[in-house]
Amino acid sequence: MLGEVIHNLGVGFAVALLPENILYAFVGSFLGTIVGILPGLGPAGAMAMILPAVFTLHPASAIIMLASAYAGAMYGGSTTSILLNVPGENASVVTCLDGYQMALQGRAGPALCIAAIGSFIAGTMGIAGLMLFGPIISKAALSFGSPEYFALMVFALSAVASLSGDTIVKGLLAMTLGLMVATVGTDMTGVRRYCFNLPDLLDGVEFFAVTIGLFAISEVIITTAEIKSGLRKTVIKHKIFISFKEFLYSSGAIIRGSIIGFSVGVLPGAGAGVASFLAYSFETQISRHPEKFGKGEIKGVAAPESANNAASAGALIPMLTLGVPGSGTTAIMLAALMGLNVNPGPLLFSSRPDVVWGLIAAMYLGNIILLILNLPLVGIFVRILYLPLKYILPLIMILAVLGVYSANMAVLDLVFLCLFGLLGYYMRRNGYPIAPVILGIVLGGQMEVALRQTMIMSQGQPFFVFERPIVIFFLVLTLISIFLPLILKHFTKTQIEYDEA
Amino acid sequence: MFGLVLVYYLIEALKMTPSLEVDIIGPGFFPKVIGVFGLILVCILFLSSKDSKKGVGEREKKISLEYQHLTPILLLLIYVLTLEKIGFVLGTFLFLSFNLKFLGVEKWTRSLIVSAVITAVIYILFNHVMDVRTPESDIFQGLMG
Repeated sequence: MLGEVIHNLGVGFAVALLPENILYAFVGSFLGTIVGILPGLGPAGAMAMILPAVFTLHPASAIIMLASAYAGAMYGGSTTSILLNVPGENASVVTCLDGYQMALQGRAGPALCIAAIGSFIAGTMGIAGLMLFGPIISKAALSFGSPEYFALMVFALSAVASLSGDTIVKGLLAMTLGLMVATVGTDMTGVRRYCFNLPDLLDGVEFFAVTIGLFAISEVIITTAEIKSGLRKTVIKHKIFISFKEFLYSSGAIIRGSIIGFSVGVLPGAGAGVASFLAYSFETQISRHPEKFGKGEIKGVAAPESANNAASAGALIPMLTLGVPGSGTTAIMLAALMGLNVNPGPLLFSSRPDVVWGLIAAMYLGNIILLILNLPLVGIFVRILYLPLKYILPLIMILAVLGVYSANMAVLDLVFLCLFGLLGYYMRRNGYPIAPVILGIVLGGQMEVALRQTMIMSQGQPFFVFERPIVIFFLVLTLISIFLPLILKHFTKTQIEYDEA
Repeated sequence: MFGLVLVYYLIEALKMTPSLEVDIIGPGFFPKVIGVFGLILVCILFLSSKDSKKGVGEREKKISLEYQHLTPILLLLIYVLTLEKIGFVLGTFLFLSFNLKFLGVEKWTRSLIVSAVITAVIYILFNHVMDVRTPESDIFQGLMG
């Protein structure tokens, strides 16, 4: 079987390495990175923009260009998270937490480097996983029903503990706010909730208005206050490249992040956002110094960045083998494939090996190109931080406005952007962590749908879920992830007391 | 304050009725759980108010709260509310000029020139290079884009 895989991959690379295809991969990566940098226009936006252009190309070239744009946009999104605290898409929200802190400390270069290297390693591991386990995993993923999804979401919510540091009650309250925002809009049965008769609210509160408001606009207010109080005058000298020691230190986080990311990515609907939250949470739980997270810990950038890239490779499995797109991005990829007369499904691996293996080879190629393209760009990106803040701040606001507006063309979203900016400022001044709000929004909607479907399936018998092993597995994991840190903390405390005695 | 929002949220949730018979727990269940959970948290927080400053970051501790620091957000709010009235070009130009002046660009001429250049670059980049439409004006349609 392995021989077959290698042979097929060889065929794929023969297609991907044609000079014109390498050119398309370069163009795709570059465009993807640029679009990914703009707030609100995530990978799905990047791919939607080049979609009309790719239909004129040969199917293999089209897929190569789309796959490269996808990878590029994922990377671009993390660049602004690190440099400006503006998350480009939901998968890079977690990157803000430690990435932006690193930038404030003059370590923007290493943060960008580890994001690029981590993405590369995770992407490669993810593609290897896709290649080796694709068909097998797709069958296992089918056994994932609503109860299992609900249990997974409950488990993912336990990440709130690691996102809120010492202030668990405030963290939970922030998460509650996120869950509340997630319930706004038309629900799964068509009932309107909290819409206040505003048609723009029927689809819910725009995700990017909340995220960019909470992170970027609150940051604008705080930086303005710093400028006006004369606290932000000294220009920090930024390191450009990462040291080998830092790389070795983060390598474990990259590998763990890749495995978590790939496993979550395989599940349709869970997506790269959930994967990055889980990977971050896992790192804080196994770390000997969890207090360093949120204050510029390089592992806090490496883990979620690896996870979101591995998840995007994993998300291709249900898309290719079942025809089920796991996210907005894979949905566009699916549309492109169907437009090119390629029909995904269980038979795709045998009926169109050229397309599947071409795509896999294209993703390898895209990963390598991205690394070549982005490591030299780190120096240029870091220069953004040397520009005077008085020019940067208004520019961040305009890009935020355009990014949010482009989603629905609704002024209401922009008002939300301002309101959530003010709210984010209030929360930060009073010690409320903001990341749990995003966690609540990302998970809330999916969690509710899974719960209601479960109850419909079980005809109102809640205990039916305990007959399902995967559900029990996740619920046990949730308990472990909540209580293990507490127990460990207790033990280290007694250990310190013992040592001191 | 958040407690009041939660109470309102909960009252609205109690009013919701299922639209489908098979939907056993209905649209109000999840909001009710969230509402009750949130109120419990608010109570806990209220009772343990001694550590209300816990968790505030280093940077946030240093800055003092003065309402003039909110000027950029006020400008942003005016900007977004008038955006579809006066159009992207004029709105952005004015928003940038006032912001740059507030944030410490000394001369008006400098602020105006920089604003004009940035507005033009963004407008061309979005509309002509990336094909993302910027907000259009109701009043000056065709004139200002």
